[in-house]
Amino acid sequence: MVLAPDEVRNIYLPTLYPIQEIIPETTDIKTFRLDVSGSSFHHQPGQFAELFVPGVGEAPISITSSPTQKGILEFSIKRVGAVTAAIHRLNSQDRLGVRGPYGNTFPLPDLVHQNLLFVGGGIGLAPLRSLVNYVLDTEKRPDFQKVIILYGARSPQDLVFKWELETWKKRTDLVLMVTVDRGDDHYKGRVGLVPNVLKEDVTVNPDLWKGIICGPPIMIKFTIKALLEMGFHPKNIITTLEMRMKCGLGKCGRCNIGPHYVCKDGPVFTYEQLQHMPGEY
Amino acid sequence: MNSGIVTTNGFISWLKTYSGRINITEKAEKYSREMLGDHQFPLIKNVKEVLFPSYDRVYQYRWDQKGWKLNDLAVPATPTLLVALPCEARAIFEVLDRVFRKEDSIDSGYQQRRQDLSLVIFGCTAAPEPTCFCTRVGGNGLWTHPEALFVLPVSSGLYIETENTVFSGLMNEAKPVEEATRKQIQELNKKAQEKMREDTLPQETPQALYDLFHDPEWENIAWKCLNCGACTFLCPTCYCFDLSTEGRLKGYQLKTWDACMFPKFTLHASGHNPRPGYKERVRQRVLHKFAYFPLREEGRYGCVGCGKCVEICPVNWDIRDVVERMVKKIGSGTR
Repeated sequence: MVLAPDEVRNIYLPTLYPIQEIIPETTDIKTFRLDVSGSSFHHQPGQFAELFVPGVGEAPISITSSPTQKGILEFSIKRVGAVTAAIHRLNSQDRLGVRGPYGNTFPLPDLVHQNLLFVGGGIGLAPLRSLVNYVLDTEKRPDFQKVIILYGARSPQDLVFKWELETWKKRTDLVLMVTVDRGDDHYKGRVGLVPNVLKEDVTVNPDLWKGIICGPPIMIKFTIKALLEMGFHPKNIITTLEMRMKCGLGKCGRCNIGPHYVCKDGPVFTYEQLQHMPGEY
Repeated sequence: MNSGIVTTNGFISWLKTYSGRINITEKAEKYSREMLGDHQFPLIKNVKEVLFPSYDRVYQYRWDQKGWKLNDLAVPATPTLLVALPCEARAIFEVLDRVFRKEDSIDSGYQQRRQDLSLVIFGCTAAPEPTCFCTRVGGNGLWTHPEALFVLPVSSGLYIETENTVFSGLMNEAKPVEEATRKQIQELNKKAQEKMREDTLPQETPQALYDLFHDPEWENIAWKCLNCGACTFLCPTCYCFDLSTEGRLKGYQLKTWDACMFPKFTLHASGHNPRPGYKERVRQRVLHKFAYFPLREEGRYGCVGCGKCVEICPVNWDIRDVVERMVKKIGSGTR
């Protein structure tokens, strides 16, 4: 049925939500917690939103909070371009425009009752975190089996969510492994590149686990290679992609890989799906 | 379908009494010059200008002491009569509508303009320009839609046909269609259908072209293209757009035409660009129209064969030759 124009809401119009808290993560990454209580905003793990700063513009950012965290919405944002720099200049109680949620989600029906191996690099932990905290939710946890989280960054200063890594470390129902490419004088943890740590220190039966990965393109490339060497089937390797986007609705025409729009058919793809796509990302 | 015969003068005076905005496309004016004369109605280059303006304000933002305010901007109702050729009409029904009226995400501005639109289609009994190739992409010169008013010169006057009551004023003046004229039209239709069947690219073309994604021929095809984007702005189906802001403390969110020919179109903030060169961008333009769009949209090509891009290109890059070159290679490569 075609709606009359006055029944059609403006799909480009964001909603302004107040910033409840800003958590500094690294020198160029901050986490913004928005208060969306009372709104109808509802997302699934893996989705993203278009964030809007009036007078500056919009940027597509993955939602890092889990839908099980009611009334809030979190975005971890690296200062890279004009919009993310403007977001970094905002203060608590300022309002930020949000459009969404957009995109597909992590394939929850395929993940239920499975063992989950999360592999994150740098700020790539942000989209994974929406699923990690979903799985760790008291009500949802019984639906999933074992959980391993392998997280790496370039240096100890580049690790994000340190405040939450402490919480995860204390839990007995998951294994958390943190690594950095290069340590420093104070750092006492593991040192090594994520794909190497994965191959050397993680021993799992590849037929019984799902690998869910996100990070910089080079890290994703070598992590996929490592998982394949470990015997993972391409359909059991799940990743989430980044693209320049404007509309988030499969219309503006720039985020496609072949006939697939990353904003609509993605951002979550299995490696099996990516193998059948042209690699233009 | 209601049909009838009107006189040319009767048709022109009906057009002149239309109470809203009236436009004729450049291509339709050229084709109908003998009938309508020169510059009777305001010209537009491209049908999409009416539904998807090159510059469009989608909402307003402003700062006051209480903080930011966002105001929706509704498109005011403006009845519009548009005269176009069948290829240009197909751009609306088969491409733009499928993008901006998609049920899960209707563009309200487009929707308003679309509901305000009354479309008049002039049938072409022969390809009016040497650059025309509508039959190659599933169209024909007599293509029409029940929502539009179809107009075709015949021996007894102007044949008109529609199911839309918007045109009942003209339809009421029409004389019944004589048997001889009906026969003449049936004959023309038969010919047009046959030509279309003969010429249309085989059904498997979109997937087969997609399979040629890594073919080295794309390098040669892109070689002379300047990436100037002129083709995309003249193209009635090119719908890619940008969203940007205009004004700091008070201003508008803009929806403006954009083009896959421009390097910044896909440039990430990190500096990475998935389509960094001419080859990638030209391949995107061709495959979007001839592979990706039909693969998503029930076989509809994202090209209506109007030939405007061929006419305008400063370096004579010809999409018809490109498609033929690639079609010849079908089956020779893998994605």
